[in-house]
Amino acid sequence: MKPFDGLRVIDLSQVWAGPVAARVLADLGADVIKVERPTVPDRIRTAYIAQNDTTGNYWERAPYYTVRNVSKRGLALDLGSDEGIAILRGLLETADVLIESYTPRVLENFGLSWNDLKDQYPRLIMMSLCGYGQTGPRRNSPAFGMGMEPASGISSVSGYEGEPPLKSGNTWVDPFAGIHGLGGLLNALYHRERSGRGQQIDVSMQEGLLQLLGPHFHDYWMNGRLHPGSGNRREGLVRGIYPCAGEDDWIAISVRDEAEWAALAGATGNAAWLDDARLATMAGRHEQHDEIDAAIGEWTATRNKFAAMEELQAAGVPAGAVLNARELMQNEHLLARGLWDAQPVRGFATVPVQRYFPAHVDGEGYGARGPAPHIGEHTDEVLRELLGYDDAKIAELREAGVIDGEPEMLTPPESRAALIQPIDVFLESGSILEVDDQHLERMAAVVARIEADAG
Amino acid sequence: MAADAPRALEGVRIIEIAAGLSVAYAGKLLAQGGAEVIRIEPPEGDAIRLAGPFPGDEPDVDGGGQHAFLNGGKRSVALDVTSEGGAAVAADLIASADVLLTSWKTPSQLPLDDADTMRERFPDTLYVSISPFGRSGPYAGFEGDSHVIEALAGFSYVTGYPDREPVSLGVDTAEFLGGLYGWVTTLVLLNAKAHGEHHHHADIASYETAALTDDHNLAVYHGMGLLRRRFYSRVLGAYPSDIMRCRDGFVSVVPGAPDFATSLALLIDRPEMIDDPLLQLPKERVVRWQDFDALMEPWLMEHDAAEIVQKAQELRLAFAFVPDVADLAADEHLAARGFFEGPGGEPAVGPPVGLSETPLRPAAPPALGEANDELAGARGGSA
Repeated sequence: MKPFDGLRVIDLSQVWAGPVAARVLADLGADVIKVERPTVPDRIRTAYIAQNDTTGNYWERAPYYTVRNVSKRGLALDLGSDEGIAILRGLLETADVLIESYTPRVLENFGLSWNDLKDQYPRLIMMSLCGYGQTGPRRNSPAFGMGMEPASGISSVSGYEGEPPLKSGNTWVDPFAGIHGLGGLLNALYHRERSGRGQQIDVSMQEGLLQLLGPHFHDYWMNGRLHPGSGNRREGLVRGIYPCAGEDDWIAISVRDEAEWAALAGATGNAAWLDDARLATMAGRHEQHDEIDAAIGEWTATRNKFAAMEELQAAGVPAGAVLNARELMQNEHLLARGLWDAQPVRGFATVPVQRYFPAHVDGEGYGARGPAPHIGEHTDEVLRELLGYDDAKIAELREAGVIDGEPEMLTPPESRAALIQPIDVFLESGSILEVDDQHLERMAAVVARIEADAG
Repeated sequence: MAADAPRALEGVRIIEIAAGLSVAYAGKLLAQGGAEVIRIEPPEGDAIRLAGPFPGDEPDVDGGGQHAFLNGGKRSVALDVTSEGGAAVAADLIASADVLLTSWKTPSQLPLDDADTMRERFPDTLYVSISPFGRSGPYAGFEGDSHVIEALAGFSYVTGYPDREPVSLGVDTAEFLGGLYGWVTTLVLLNAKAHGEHHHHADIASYETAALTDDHNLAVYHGMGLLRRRFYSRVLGAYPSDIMRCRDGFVSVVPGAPDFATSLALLIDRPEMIDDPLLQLPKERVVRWQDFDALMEPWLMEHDAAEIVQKAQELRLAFAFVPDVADLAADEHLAARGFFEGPGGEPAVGPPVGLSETPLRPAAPPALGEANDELAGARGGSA
């Protein structure tokens, strides 16, 4: 028994934030039907194809697509046709939730906006997710997660001191926005239990991200103060990222109070700090941060980052090794807690897929329930089961191209060639550390561990 | 928004025992949904109240910015839960509640680190714990704030310049993610309870909630064995993706448009370049990213951000401003959406998501211990 057994979700969303929110509902038991236009499928399918191999149906072999879409069923449907729209409306009769991530004008043009649907489907909860929300002058502005971090002010408070605004190198903003939307949706489901009525969820990626700046806004309103990037330093803390032994190996340390300060001084052989009047307060330490950093860096430079982390944590100092993606995949703590599930990228390999709902509930978790669907993999089954269509009707729709078709933009040789990532350029630029030629073996070892732990 | 709109979580009672930013954020979002959130905090006020910022930098236990942002809409009971008497009062409150929200590491006379005992003592209360690393696993005893957690979660390694140390963002992303998942987990389990399915304990590790968001770098490693590292604000695999200088500041430049080549050529007043492979072929831009920069930079330096973004958006390019907090506070789009309209007319940060029938509603934060007489009086709330 899972919390959302029996709930049905129609997932029209694409790429990242919407699919992640839908995936959580699927992992929690909902029947999530991912709808894609057969000729123009989810564009995330073309991102970072396994093994850089764009032959055959490569759009079914992207781990990038897999991780956001496991546990769902796949329905191919041409929303550009009247029959396609009619089928979608039929599915909405059976659905509790509709999730979409277009700019507002798109579904308005299809006659599928909230205003078009709300009277016919009074129990429906419709979650619409886009860069700037469903109202306001910027509602139809196109947006991607990678641009929303700067567009939400996060970059303006990030970066090295005296340097330009900085964007992070991961795209946490998409799940951050998608999961905030999910929280709104869960409020709506709870309300529907009692009222019987659905509602619209308006997710502006920007407004989700602005939460992170809450204290910054208050400082601006109170004192007119802004906080441009100050590297790893923060007022009231002793904090930095320090070099360790090994290639590009680092450790992050953050000291928040007197006990942690004393522990840091002791653990790094700097007991004299505790008798230094200049360092008696956090403000004084902030002034002498360069000197403190030099001493910490001297201590860390000869140590393995994991050993240093263990040693500092044992002494009571908050410290964490700086991990790359490989080390993250192999991390003992995450493996022990079961953050990954083993799921196939069919035609490639079984990969560790992270949970987007990682809570341990009464000792149990809610992980991926099955592979990410191929385009239209469950079309027939969904049309039979939910709409009662027979074989003849399905054949007719297939013939008419309503539920079938080639992803024409993905198949020409030049499209295939364009999607091969120029790894030599990445290496030359320094934007990647290395290409790990053992990565399949390492991944297989992690998958074996996950499967053994799952029993 | 209508003050008489129904509240989704009307009638739900949450006890929050103060335990840092994550727990406070989860409690705040539940309060915005209409739950009664009773925050138990130390008699002198907790770290969030003391963290500021304060008007004129004058410390004020009820007037801090973190407090205003994270504790809006809650009740406050000042209580020392490390004393027997205080813990007894807290226990009565917990027994009366649907949910207890705290960290298993919170110092107290309650058995917060023992889920089984908590279940026996409070069989009808769901206990949600949010901590840096969770209750189990080899790091369970570790301490860490966002800076430390993000290092372990893969964020820091890919953030910064290639020839410098990794750098944390200027916001507490990992701790907010922990709080976000505390909110979502509580809501999932409240929904389950509404269907008659009772749960007792949820253990949330902010570390996991941060690690799961590194899905770009993980998927690239899983599929291709590439280990990405920090490279300014650029993502070379989908170029252009960067923060670039313009005449009066910066703009966010991203790929993806119905017809990128035409849109970009028109944007930079170079229509003759529409058919140039550098604009037509995404891969060409990746391989020749320096050529692309050389094409863009002179034009950007001759234009201001406002005109660049307006023209780009008209051409369906997802370029964006790189605003700071002052820009955002004055932003007309956010103003049109009423995002900064606080409960009493003063500015406040609006809710993270809009709901048409049961809107999340910001509210003022409580004075320290304002609910002691009402909620903790019978058992000696001053304990």
